[in-house]
Amino acid sequence: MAALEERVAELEASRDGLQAELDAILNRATDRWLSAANFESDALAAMQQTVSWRVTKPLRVVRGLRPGDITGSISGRLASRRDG
Amino acid sequence: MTDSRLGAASVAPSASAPFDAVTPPPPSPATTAALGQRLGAAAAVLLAGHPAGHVDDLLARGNGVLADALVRHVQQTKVDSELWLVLVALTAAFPDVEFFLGVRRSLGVTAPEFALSSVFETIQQSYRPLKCLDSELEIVTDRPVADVDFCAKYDHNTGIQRVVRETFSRWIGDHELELACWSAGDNALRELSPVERRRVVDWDAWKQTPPASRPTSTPPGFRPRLVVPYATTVLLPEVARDGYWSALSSLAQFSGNRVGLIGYDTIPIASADLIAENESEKFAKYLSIVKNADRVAAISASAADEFRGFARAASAQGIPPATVVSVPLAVQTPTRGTAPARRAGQGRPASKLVLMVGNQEPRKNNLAVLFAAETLWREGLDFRLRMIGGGSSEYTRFVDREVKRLARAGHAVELLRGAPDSVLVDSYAEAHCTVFPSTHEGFGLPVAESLAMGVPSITTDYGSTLEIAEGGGCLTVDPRDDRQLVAALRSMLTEPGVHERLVAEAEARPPRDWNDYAAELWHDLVDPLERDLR
Repeated sequence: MAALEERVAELEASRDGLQAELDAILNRATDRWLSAANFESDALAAMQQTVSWRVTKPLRVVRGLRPGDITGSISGRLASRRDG
Repeated sequence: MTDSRLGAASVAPSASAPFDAVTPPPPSPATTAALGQRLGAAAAVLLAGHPAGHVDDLLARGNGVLADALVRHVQQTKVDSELWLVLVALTAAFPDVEFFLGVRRSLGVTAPEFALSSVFETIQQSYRPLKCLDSELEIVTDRPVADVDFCAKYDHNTGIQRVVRETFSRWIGDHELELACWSAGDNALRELSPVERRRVVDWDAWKQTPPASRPTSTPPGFRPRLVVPYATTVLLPEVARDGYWSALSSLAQFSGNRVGLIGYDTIPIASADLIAENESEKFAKYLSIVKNADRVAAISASAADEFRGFARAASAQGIPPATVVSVPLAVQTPTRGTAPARRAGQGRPASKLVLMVGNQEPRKNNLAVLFAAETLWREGLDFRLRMIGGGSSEYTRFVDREVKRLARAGHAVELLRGAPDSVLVDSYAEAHCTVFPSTHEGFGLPVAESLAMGVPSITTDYGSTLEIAEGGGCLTVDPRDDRQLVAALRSMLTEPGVHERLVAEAEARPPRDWNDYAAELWHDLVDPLERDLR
């Protein structure tokens, strides 16, 4: 009987160890994803703060406009918000 | 990269790779804790059927363990609203439609043990910057959540903003309500700062505060919680700007919330020929939210017809049409602010004042009004014309040119742009009549304001302005027929009996103030949505 109980305890410990390993894998994967997502957002924000990004912003804005838009007030159009 | 925000990333030189490999730094303890809080909040809702302590046990084993349990749960239940909530908790962002569908499909073909990995992979492939990963959230299930983003962040106060501020300043005292605006990166709704809240519900006091002594919108250290509506009512009283439409459309489709909105008009689509191109494009995107909404409270019967028409058009896509009701706006005297009132007769010329109020754009018909005025001046009538309102230079240059020509010819015409409320109110008080022959309106606030001040109006003989005119005090015309406009203005200026009758009708109109509008809007928009849920 004692041997059986000992065997059960041994198996339970083994199970708990394996479960801890699985937990560690899940937590590690989640941490890595969180690191990457955080880093990407920060990298994008940092890039958008650079002088080159800000200097070329008007060029990207103009690329988003249709030819007909150029004839009007570009800044007015971009600044305009529909307010009823 | 030399930016300090990325300073902790390590760069490993490699002999074989063309670029150095960047290893992101581990997440900060605050970011990790925030993820745990968000997952715990979602689990408290979604895993409520498990024995007490189950969620705490999972969380004690780590964020990954709890995330895995949640993802396996939604993979098994296949309930869209639950998946939506799990994605919000993981990413601290409201998913857009394509991302949501991508995750749902991915979970449909992935074994449970790889479900969490497949979600992470789909998030990475969405290329959406996640800027709120260090934010905690509150899941709101017991009260409506209202997106008042623009009113909370900006001091601008014309049509839509006036409706929102007048309504919510009344609702906030009478009902349980959560006000929210959009977070950094337009990722999700968040709670308002104290200043942002004042801008919405205490506008009259806020606008009295000199700009120099106003506190900043978001005080240093302000770390707002994300506001996540779940199984509740979401109210969209503003026209959501571009950047929000995809997440809101997804919310309306998948989150299980009931979505109600105020429908102002469909002018950018139905009168696209009369407005700037980019406005039509933006509004078309906004309609993707409208077509997935549950209830629309339009600001007039005419606007309600427009939204019903759109809802019927969307039925071709197999989308159940939203219920559309009409709750007309208030008809109330505008407030003049703190400027002293102009004394009656003070410097007042003898001739009658004809007033036109509103933005200057093609559909407002400013050029037709100038034509009618010139015709009558040439007939020898003595009156002044005042136009108050701004507009895009694409159209105002035509108005400016005509006004200058008429002024040079000695006619009494003036154009006021950027005039304060006090000038507007004084002008109404001084006016013999107002003119508002717009070809397309959602409501026609200047007509309503004019009548509320007992000043008769000449306005359009169809749509929302006709609805207002039917209550008395107006002459109505076909706005596309200049001769009718000339005849109506001549009658108003030369027939005292007609003018006196219209003044009496305007003064006899039953009052309808913002208290009436706010109460009726809650009854017709919010109550039915809440009943559907409870």
